Amino acid sequence: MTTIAFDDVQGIILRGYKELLFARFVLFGVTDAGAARNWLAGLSITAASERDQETATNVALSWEGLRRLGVPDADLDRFTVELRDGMSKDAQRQRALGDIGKHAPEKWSWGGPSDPIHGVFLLYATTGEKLTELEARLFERQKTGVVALHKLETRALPDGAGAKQYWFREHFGFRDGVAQPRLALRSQTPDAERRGVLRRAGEGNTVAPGEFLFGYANEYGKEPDGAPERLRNNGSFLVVRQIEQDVCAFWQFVRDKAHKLDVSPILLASKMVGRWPNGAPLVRAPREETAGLEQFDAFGYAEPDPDGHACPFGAHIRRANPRDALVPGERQSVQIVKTHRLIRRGRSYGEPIHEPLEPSLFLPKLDALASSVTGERGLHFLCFNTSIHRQFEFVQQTWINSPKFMGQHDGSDPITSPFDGGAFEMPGLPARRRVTDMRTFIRIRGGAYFFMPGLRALRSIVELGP
Amino acid sequence: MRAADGPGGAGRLRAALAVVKDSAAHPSSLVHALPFHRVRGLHFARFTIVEEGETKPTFGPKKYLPAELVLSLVFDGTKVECVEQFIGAARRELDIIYASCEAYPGPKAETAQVRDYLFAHDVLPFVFYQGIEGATVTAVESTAALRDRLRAQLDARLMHGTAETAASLSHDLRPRPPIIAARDLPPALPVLSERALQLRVLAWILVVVSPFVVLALLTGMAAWKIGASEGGSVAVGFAPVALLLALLLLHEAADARALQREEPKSVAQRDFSRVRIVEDVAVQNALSHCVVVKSGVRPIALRIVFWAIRQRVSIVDRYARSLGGIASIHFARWVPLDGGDRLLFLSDYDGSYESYLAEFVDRASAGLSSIWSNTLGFPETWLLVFKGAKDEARFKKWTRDKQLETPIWYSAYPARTVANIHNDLRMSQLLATDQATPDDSAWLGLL
Repeated sequence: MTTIAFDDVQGIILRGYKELLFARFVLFGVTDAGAARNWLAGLSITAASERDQETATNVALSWEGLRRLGVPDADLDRFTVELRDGMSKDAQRQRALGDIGKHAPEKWSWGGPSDPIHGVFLLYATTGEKLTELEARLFERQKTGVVALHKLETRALPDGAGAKQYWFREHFGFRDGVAQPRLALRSQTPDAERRGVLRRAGEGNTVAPGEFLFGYANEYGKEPDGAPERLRNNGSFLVVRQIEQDVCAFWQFVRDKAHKLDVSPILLASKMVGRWPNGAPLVRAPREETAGLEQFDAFGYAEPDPDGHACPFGAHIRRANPRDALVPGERQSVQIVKTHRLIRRGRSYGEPIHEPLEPSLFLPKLDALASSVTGERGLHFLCFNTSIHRQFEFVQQTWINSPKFMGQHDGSDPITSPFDGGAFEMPGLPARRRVTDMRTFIRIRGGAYFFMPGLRALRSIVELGP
Repeated sequence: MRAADGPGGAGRLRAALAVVKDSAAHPSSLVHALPFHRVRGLHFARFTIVEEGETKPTFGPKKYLPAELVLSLVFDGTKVECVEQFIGAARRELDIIYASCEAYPGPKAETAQVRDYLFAHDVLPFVFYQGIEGATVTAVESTAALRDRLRAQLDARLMHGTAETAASLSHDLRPRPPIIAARDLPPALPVLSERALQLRVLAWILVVVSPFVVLALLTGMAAWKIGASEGGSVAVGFAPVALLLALLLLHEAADARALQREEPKSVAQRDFSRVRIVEDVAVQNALSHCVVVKSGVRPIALRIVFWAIRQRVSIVDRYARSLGGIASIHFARWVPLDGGDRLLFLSDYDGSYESYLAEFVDRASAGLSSIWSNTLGFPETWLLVFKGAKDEARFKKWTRDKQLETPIWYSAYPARTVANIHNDLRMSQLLATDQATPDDSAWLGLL
């Protein structure tokens, strides 16, 4: 158990800023290191200890960005190889992540091999006006030494029931971001500090802070070492992926396949996700979309659903977080899964195909929508971890993309796999049923790896003399 | 099989393998670099190059270890059958690859000479583990084909809803007579309960501990015979075991100090691009890994450890269908090179390198530490099994650091995982019996 230096950790790592519905991510390049350091030194970056603010500003730097800002080679060499290589350079990494074919980095709208990104600002506000104001203030200096290369807009898809509870859906129409790891905090951590810090997670879900923050012990009892000692405390690696979603095509596909199997499209899509659109997990609500379970996360698979009859082995949430049923032995399974968790901070972008974003309401009009809906929509996937290869890349490659996950024969993730082909199996009685000729309805449009330093480390980076 | 080469040999060997790969019909595909597929009963094959190195024995000067070419073949049937078929299929390529190897008979030699050359360089592994006991290539392929066929039939039956019961489906889909006879399948090992497996682990521990108990008893009795007191005899009895442990702890402490001296120097990481570029192309991957064995009591410790692991495989792991908890291995072997100066590890496994290494750390760290703590550069261990591979980051770095390229690698069934093969064999075994029992539909669950 640990006490976390909340005043040194950047806010977005430990808090989702769910009350700040408006967000914009500004990807930038450094043009003048001296000016950029000056400018960065004068900015007010939001710490996790700050509460109830109306705006928030966080910043992360890529390896190239750290180099441009003048971080010495001795420190740069100490960063993990994934950060140094970046997301888009290496053929093996592209295979592992599935960034091939239509997802290849050459086709990305940002972050590809010819579009180096040096850093990203994550800006949040309660209203659109405040967000615009925040961004204007950020860049009001005459000489910032950086150039904004891309602005990633977001569009919250609120699914909130109560006044202060903000839950988001993603564009396919499912509640998103329910399962988050809870950090093992020292029990005397004041309640005010705990407030909002990843506390809505289920039991058996408490993970060592070192999995997400440098300077603390990880699940192996060691401090993560993927960053230089001088700069790493209270920092984390930020992974950003822009995932485009073809919502109408997804539901048309599901509708046609469901028709052939004589099941409801919403049931089939929910089997693929592992939760109903409202968020209720299939292991607890196997037959229908039950109210009251929207945020329910305190469940396992081993005891209620060992054969995958309720939630198929191939379902998205079972792959992304296999909980207690990855290997024989529930405790061992939980322990292994804890070494592959991510803190997810994604936000959707683009207009929803329908409001409210409720599949039962838009399914009857699907074909009309498909011909009238325009524009791009999807998810800016953001996650934090301290070992990119053991956490983000592992989950993507070994659980999401693998056609062999949990003994299957040929099916990768039915929702987020980048690949066409294969089958989605639904174990059940009298025998398993399957959807063949699966297709992917996502497309990777950009991505990069960043280091989000603690505030003191950031200060020491920007105070390096030229 | 290994073949030595002189100084600078690794470069020559690499070039020769590259020539063979480039001249192959499908240069982009690793699988077709050599006509391995024409060798009946060949499961996996690879060529690996071990770089030259050196070792410092306890006594005497440093010893030079040459670059070596390693050919590994995993096959059904006899060695003669396999190797003769292989030479027949790939003689031209073998002549190119082995051109720079010591004493290779050359292109003009008879097949028998080449065969005898290969046999003369054959090395038996310390441990050979197979993930699916007794499954021939034919059994793997035929059971997979049977499942593919039945699953298409099942899909058709389940279209447009289902009023079927398991019994009616099973009755209609079950092939009669069986397509694959029981005699063409490997004998089914019993599936043991968690408890039965725990008992077997206990039995294994007893077997491993017993020689040391016997040693203690014998020395104790000998002391008693020559007139030592009761307490004295017990003390003398434990002395050899205590001495061994003390020696081990001394070695470990010295090694830990050496590591601390070395570590700050090794900042720069090796360039892994050459080993990574062939990874994750298919469902399966190959790991080739070679390390220099430490001197002193380490070679003896290593032999004792491998003896214990062979016991473990035959008492526990074959029933658990995993190697020390790792269920994703088709074949694994530890092989002594240069008379035991170096330790080679080869495995053919499912899934990503990262997931394989994670299993090493999470599931088999004690067993692997007990082996590799006897080799150079391994993270600090205590009493062979503690710490070691549990030091996740260091262990992964060390493994990558000692990894060899596998420029040529072949799998007869590259799309099948160990879990898939177990599933298909089990289903075929259930279908191989003609009798219709009440529990007749169990096979459906495996489809």
